[in-house]
Formats: sequence, C-alpha cells, structure tokens
Amino acid sequence: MNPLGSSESDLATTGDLASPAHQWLDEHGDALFRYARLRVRDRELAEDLVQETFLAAIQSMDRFRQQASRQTWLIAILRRKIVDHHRRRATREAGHAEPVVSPEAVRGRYFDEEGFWKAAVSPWKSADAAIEHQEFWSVFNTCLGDLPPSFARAFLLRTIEGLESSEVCEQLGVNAGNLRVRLHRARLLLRECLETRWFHSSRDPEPRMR
Amino acid sequence: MTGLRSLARILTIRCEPVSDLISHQLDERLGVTDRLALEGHLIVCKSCRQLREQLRWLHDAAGRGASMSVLAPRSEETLSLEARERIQASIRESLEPRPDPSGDGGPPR
Repeated sequence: MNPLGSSESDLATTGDLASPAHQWLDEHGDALFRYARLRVRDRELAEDLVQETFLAAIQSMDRFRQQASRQTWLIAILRRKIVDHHRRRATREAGHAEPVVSPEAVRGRYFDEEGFWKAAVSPWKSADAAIEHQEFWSVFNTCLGDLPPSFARAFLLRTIEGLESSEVCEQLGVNAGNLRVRLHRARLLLRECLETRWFHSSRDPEPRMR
Repeated sequence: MTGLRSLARILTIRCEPVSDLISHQLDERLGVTDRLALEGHLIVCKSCRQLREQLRWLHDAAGRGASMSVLAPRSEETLSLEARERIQASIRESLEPRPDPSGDGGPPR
C-alpha cells in the first residue's frame, strides 16, 4: 500500500499537506473542545481527548476524504475517543454507581411508599412568557448545573443537542435502561428547581398581579 | 396471561411509574400497554396531567433555548492557553520531519 515508508514521513516532507495540520488547532481546537466538554466530566480530560484526536488524525491523514469537511472528520475521530473513554471508565467503575442522588432519594423526594405524589403538582403561571426572559435562562442554566453531572449530561445531549436516545447511549457509554432512568430523574429535578427558583419564586414574571 | 398482566398494569399503575412513562414518551414511542396505562391514569390524576404538560414544555423550551443559543452551557469555554500550547507542541512533534535512523521510515510511535 505504501511501499516507500509511512505516510507520516511523506506528510512531514510535503509542506502543503503538513501545514494544514499545523492550523487545525486554531481552526478546530475550540469546537472540538466544546464538543468533548459536554460529554466528559472534567476539563483536563476534554483537553486530553482533543490532543489525542489531533494526533490520531495526523496518523490517519491519508484516510481523510475530501467529501467530509475537516471538522466533521475530526469530530468523528473525537467521538470514537469519547466512546472509548466511557467504555474504559464503565469497565473500571463497574458496580460503582454515582453516589450523588440515589434512585431512592429521588423517588422518596416526590412519591410516597405507595407511589403517589407526596404533594400535588401545581400549574405554572405564564410558562411561555418565561422563555422571553433572559433571567429565566440564567435560572435554567443554574438548575442544570445543580443536577448530578451524569443526569445533566444525559439531559444536555438528548434535549439541548437533540440527539436520539441511541446516540446519547453511545456517547455516554450507558444502556437504554440506564439512560431512561437518568433522563427521568433529570427532568423531575429540573422541573422542581425551575418551579422553586422561577415559577413559584418572588421573581415571578408577573409580580404586579399579586 | 400476558393479557391479564397488561390489564392489571393498566388498571393499577401509580404516579411514580407514570412519571417515568411521561418522561420516556418524550424520547421513544411507548408500547400499547404503557400507552393505555398512561392515558388511563391521566384521566383520573390531575398531578400527572400537570406533570406531562410541564415536562413537555421543558423539553420544547430547552430545545428552543438551544436554538436561541441562550442555552449553550459552557459555549464560551475555550481551550486554556496551556492546553493549547501543549497540544500545538505535540502536533508539531508528530509532524516533524524526523531524521530517519532506521532508513525504513519507521512505524508511528
């Protein structure tokens, strides 16, 4: 396939092929970083994954086809790195569930032993108007930040990024049942938080009504 | 038997599993038994009707927030300077025309 040596050394000597790779970081670094940041827990890890992505991309540069944009191609590599990471972590942490909010805690927070609501779910006033308020979104972001990280990631990927459940499972390295549980709890907690901090708070969008 | 079990589920489902179905319905199509159980329960349970309305709203609002990009958490975040330098150095290193000691091109590290 490549009788005269590795494609790497070819690239190294041909300036016009090698130079784009020097610019990758400037052109795509932040986009890749943000992509990773939404999917992994910490910053350094996201940075490492970006670095690994560039290095892997350089190694397989000859497999890049012009049909895809450079960024799409880099993200596809990054995506595999993220999936690998979650898979490795899942193997390592098998049996160690995230301790932040246990299923029982969420259940007991809203439902009695028989599975009925502890407190009635009350309506939200002028929910649609809330969307127009900048302040509502900062409350929303705060609430999202207060979720256990694994719930927040599931919610972000599914609802905000709009991925299909199967894609979210792949990205997070969890099975469908696990994702379902996370999304369920994320939504209940988020609902409660928005209710407390926005819909039922004194920062009600229509304070003059009272 | 399975028919009876389905019927029992439809007739006896409580708010907690219903809240799971309400959430799940935002992601997937529910099976017949689940759908009947959910809809039957919603007829008699005001809190769960309220919940469905709110979770649907939440789902749509979050999607709209994303498209208005008011909800792009950490979107302003960028690679730190240190990370940038480190990554640039590693890219440069891997592109460097290394002298070819073995004479056969050598495998990638």
